[in-house]
Amino acid sequence: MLKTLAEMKPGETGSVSSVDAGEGLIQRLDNLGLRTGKRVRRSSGQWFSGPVTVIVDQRRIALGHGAARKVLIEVDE
Amino acid sequence: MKRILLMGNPNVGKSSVFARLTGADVIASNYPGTTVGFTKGRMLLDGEQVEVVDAPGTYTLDAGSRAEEVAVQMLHDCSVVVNVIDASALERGLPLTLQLLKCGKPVVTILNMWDAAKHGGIEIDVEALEQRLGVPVVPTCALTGEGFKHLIDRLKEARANTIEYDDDERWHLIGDTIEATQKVTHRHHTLLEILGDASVHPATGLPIALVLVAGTFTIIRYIGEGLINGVFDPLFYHLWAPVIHKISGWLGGQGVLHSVLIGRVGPDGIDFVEALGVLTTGFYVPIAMVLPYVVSFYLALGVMEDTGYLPRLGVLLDSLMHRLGLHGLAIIPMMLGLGCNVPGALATRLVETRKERFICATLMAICVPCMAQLAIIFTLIAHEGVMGLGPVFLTLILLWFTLGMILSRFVKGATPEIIMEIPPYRLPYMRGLFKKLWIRTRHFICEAVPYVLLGVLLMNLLDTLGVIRAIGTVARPVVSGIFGLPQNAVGALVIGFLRKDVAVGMLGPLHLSLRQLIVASVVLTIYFPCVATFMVMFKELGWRDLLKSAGIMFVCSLLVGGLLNFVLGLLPYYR
Repeated sequence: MLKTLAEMKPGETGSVSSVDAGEGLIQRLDNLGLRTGKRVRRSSGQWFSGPVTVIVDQRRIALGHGAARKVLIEVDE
Repeated sequence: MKRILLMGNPNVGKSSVFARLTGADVIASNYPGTTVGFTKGRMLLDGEQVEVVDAPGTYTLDAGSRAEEVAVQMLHDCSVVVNVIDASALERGLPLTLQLLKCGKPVVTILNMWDAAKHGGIEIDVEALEQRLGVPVVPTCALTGEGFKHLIDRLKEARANTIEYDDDERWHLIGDTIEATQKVTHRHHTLLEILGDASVHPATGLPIALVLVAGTFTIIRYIGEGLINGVFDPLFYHLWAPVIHKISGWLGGQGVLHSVLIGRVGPDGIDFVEALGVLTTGFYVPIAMVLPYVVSFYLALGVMEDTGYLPRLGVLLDSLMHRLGLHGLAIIPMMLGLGCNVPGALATRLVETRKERFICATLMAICVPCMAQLAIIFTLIAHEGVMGLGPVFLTLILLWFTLGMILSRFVKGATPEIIMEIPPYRLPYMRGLFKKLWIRTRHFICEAVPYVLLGVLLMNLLDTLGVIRAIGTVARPVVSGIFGLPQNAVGALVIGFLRKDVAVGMLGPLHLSLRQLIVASVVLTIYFPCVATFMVMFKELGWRDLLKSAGIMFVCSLLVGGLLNFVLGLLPYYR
């Protein structure tokens, strides 16, 4: 099932299907290892809609909700 | 002269590598962006002086940010590039490596944090990687120094190796390389990782943060007071006081020189806080009152930095900080500002836009008292307990929120969202931790003590010349009318521009009431930062934004000081 990164539930895993964002944001996410094809696991939620944290390549990345909504994930069943 | 440039992603340990190569003292921490400018040092290589340059972290050479543009410029002027990669994040490091190779500069690649990678179940075939890249690859651990002999041997072998590839193929190339050289074995979660989850999880993160911050400040106070009562007070009262009495005797116990050097000597001996002489209060304030707190604060800060807790605090507070027009990482300049506002103001480079930097620097300068000032506030008010310190901190925190929300609304510009890697928790490496503590303490002693002496001297001169009295008469409506302070408290406001600790110390001999002490402490925090901070803010913000910031400080100190004086006057406890 296709979801945005922001919609993923804590603990869910999947792979990045696409990043629908401008050149700059794509580049910044790419730098941190978040790009098409990568495996991700959503790690935790935050209060008051704080940043989304995901684990990519065993590393933890925090990104704001705006950016997280632009990353589409094919979530594992 | 040959020049070696260290380049790599943020937070891969470039500064530690730099310190290893040059023996220079640099601050290294476990969060991205510790190095905001270039640091230069020297090393001997085969009997030849070589310059080593530590660059801020970059992911690419595509000119995206100003830091990257400068990095590219530096690249042209160097003879060898030492490309630092975090061995536990090889895939993330390789894009920059490929770009460096494309530039045609001689490169040596080092796989730093080799021990952490091994511990994390990551195995890299160094020889295979070396063959693929065509340049020397050396595993190192900058904290312990492992691999550095080997690195220095192989620096001579640095060579250019142009790998031709299209940017589109880049990830294929990297994917192949990773496939062929790296093996990741599965392993169980370590205790640190479980802690890592808990400290950013909403349900557990905030309580952990509260306990940590409260615990840290208790420890800071405990160590600080312990050092004062156990070490510095005995030193001053048993060893230094007899010397002072001798000198006082030689000077005849009175006269201008006596009052400048020694100050007032009471009938039952000398009181180092109230004497106000250069040799008495001038040395006692920075060394016996401030230094103990500075040492214990920087010890605690060092632990928070090196474990990687600070960026987590940033993530946790991100949405709160967004209401102030900042994002979570802005908590780092605030925390550094608690030690000293100067590094705090420098660290505002961590946030990106002009709006954020303006808000961040202004809020820090107004609402964050430095440890020097805090130490004296503790000494003057702490014995009153919560009723004394409570109103001071409550006022500053409330102002921080309110002013932040107002600025966020009215300052033009954008506040981008946070996008960052949260570095893994690491156990602090003791030698590194204490070295950093020593660098900061030495910096305090060398930078602060002369200013304090100058401050006490200036205060005596201004007092003798009647300048303070004259300003006091002019400023009386504000100082007495609005703040409810005696007229001669204006001296503290004048000196506070030079040194905040001396200024707060000047309140001691005035024998103020608790209400006056609270108001004076708050006003001295808010009204202006010390001149050193001012200079850094000027460099970082430019004169136009600095003037705006100063205007805000002035208005805030009048409003908040007046309001606080009024509110405290309504409460029977403070009357």
